[in-house]
Amino acid sequence: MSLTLERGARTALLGVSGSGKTTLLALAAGLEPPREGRVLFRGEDLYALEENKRASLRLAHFGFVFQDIQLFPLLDVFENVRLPLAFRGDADAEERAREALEAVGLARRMRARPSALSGGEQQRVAVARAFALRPLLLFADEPTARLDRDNARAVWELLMELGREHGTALLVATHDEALVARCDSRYRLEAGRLRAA
Amino acid sequence: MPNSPLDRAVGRAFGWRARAAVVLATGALGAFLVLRGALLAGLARRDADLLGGRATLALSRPLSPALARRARREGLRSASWVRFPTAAVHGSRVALATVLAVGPGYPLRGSFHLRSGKSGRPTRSRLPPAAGRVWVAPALAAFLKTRVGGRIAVGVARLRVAGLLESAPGIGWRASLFAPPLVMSAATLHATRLVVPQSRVDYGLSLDGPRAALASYLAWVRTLRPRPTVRQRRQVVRALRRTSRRLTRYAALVVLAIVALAVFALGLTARAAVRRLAPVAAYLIAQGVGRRRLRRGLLSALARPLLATALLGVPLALLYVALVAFLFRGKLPLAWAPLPVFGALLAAAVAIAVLALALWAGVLGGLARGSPAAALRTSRLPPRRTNGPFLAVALLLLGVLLVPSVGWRDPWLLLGLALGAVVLPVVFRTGFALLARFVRGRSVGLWWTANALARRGWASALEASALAFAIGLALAAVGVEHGIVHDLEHGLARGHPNWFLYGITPDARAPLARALARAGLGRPRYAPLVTARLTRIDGRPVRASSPRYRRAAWLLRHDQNLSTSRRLPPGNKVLAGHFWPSARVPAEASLSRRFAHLLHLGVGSTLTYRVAGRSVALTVTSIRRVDWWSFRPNFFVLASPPSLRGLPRSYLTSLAVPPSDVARLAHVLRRSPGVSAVDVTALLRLVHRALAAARSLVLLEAVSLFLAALLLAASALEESTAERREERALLTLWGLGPKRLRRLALEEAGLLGFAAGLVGGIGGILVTRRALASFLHLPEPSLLWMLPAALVAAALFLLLAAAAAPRLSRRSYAALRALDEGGGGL
Repeated sequence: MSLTLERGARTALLGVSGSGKTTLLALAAGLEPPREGRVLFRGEDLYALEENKRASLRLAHFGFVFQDIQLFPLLDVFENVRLPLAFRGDADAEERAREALEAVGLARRMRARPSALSGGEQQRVAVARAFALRPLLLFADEPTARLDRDNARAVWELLMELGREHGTALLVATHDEALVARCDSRYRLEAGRLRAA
Repeated sequence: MPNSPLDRAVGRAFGWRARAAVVLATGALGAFLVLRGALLAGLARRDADLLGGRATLALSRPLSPALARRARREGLRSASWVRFPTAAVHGSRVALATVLAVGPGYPLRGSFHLRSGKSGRPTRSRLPPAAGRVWVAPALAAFLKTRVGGRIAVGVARLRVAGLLESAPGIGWRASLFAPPLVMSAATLHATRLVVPQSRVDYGLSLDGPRAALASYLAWVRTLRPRPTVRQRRQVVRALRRTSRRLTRYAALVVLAIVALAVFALGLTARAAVRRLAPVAAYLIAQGVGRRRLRRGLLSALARPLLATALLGVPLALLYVALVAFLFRGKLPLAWAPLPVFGALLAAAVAIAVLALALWAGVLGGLARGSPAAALRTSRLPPRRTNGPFLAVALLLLGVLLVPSVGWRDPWLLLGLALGAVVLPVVFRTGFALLARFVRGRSVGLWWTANALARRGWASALEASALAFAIGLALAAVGVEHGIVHDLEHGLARGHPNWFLYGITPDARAPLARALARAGLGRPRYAPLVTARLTRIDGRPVRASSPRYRRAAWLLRHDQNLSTSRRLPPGNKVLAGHFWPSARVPAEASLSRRFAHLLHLGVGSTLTYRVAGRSVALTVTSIRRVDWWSFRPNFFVLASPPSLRGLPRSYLTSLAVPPSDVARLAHVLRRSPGVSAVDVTALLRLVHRALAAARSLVLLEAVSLFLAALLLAASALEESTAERREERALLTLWGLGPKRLRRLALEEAGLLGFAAGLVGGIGGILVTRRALASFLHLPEPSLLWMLPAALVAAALFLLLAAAAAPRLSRRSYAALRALDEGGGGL
């Protein structure tokens, strides 16, 4: 199989549960070394890099949004968004975190703990986190699976905007047909093979 | 629900840290109960031998024969005795001994406990040794390098050692620590020619008979002048009980600390277990198992492994007991009986098992509350509702162990300990939160580290407190010991005198000086000793029973030694007032700070003493700091020379005698039978030996405390492991490599260690300063080394704890998979 992600492109990954969508995302994100084959990022083999360097690359250029929202439960919303920026060493981390939260409509909930937010709001925080990082590549795994239709649409719009504003390439594993319909290209993973859908 | 999923799940969740905590707590508590029981039994066994009668009269001059006659008339039996310290000589070895010379009929109660040799069979005797023979304590025989059948010189007499004395009525175990007893008959005493007028000797009369007759007799005795010191058996029993409480108090506090640390570690492991057990509990509730049944199931699943583990602590307790018994062999009156030992061990195992069961059941009880979904949610975060059982157990520990061990009589210590236990975690928790706020925006690594400690809340605070406590205590133990040894060695290095000669009558001064000069031991400088009884302070009569003088009762019940000096003795420093400018100033007194403090005296106070029927009034004109550990002749009360003129006195002198000259000194002493000698070097050796035993005990306790603190830290880590794994998985995902993650973990451990080390080090310095200055009256050596030592200890400890932390170094994808265990997602 071969998959190429262009700057600003939105790619949907389809497949039944257990077909290997999550594993493919992990491979592409430099998180799990493949048994065979290569993952190239800007022409460089990710798995030829030493693990710490690969991690630095991930910090600089990749973003993630999950089905399980994965916020730090004991940090407030603002810190959840600011932290990856701070770890990356961005001098304007606070400003960008604030902007990102304003963009997702949560500027007034910055000091709330994640547990005080609804599922949709938590997912918007996760998107704001990705948004603030302005990554070249965003990996999203079922980002709307646990949300109602309105929240799902809001999250999806935000992800689209991220691509438009910063030219972020999006690879999203999803069953959400509305979301699939908005993607530029669609691939289905079946019996270990990737086919254009 | 035998062999149910719950049994199996509880068995798995009850991990090695929980088991280690139960074993450690049982070991410490079991050992304490066994040793306390043995000490009480040992003291009780000597109850029968106390005083050698139901009461004793003692006076520092020969007792009037009228006392014995009156006793006979009242229907009481009586036996006389004489007790004093003196030098016993064998070859070139000289040792201080407490001579008990007893008259016919002694003891009226109890008996002498003897052995014929080191491993000889114990025997009892109700008769004193035959004329010309003595019984000596094994320690004395060992020091003099003699044995049963050998001969020793006491005064001018050479006496045969007829037996080794395990204990004797009328000689307390404390007295036998530094001046081991030597028993002879009154007839033998005359042959020694040790007792002459002005000798520092206690003359005593033991009494026994009907209580009513004794009460009437003692009422008559109290009207006599001079009044003999009366000691009754029940007073001595009470004093012994007090002593045993004092002896066990320190151990009780350390055991309390170990049990508390271990029990809290156990509680933290229970909180970690909640995560594992939550799905099982939720499943059982969803399957229709009632909450009450679930609670019962949890209790029964816990009870067996807890009790079995607690019983595993018994061998550890026995090991502790064996070590302490070995360290203090011959120094403490310990008596062993299988039944109380077994009972104490069983009680400790059951108590710890019940305590652990209460805590685990309390924490896990949260699983049986609420809906299955709520039970499942508890696996995500530490359930806050589990703080209740911690509080309950803390209060239980405070009530059951701390209060009885410290006692209500020392409310400040009690309050201080309780506040310390509560305040320290609060200080750490607040400190971490403030630090996180302070460093925000400066360094993300430091902020993350401080924030990690702050958001782990009580777990981090408990971890840091445990570590600080263990470090502070261990440093204080080492610091006090170091302070004592430093001072002793410093004092000796200055070439201070190492022998004291006392009981020198005025007539004996010149011959003794000549004999010492002939022996090449230098010319002695004599300090006068006037035996006096304090009767009034500021014109008001003083009573030993007065609450105002509670801490000075001993001083008031006994005669004091007054001395005079023309000028301020070397090593003394005037703290208040002025030392008399000339030797002609009449009726002035200079007091040691401790003496003044105990009797609430200051410059301007007046003291009235009774000396040989005369009243002597002294006005305090200065308070001195005295360097007691310099081993120079020092006195609580110095009087200006004219104030004691014409009063009966003996003299004291001190000599610096190198080991090579001791044989010559022994020769001089044999020719001066009235003179008593104290070998400070031998005394120091005893102090060192006692210190070595105490040091080993402190080390044993410090190691146990350290283990308990380590266990608590490991349990706190375990409790937060799931949280840490989630955090690390997220950070990995964001792009923090293994190197950076490791650095963050080490920074967290380092900051925790630094904070705990700093607090522990400062605490250690403060406790050591207080112990050295206020309790031991020693100059303080520099204690700044404690700070780096504390930090190094903390760093080592935290590295150990970090190494023990499970699965913190997983590879990124493995960590992510762990994150997936919640279901779905990347």
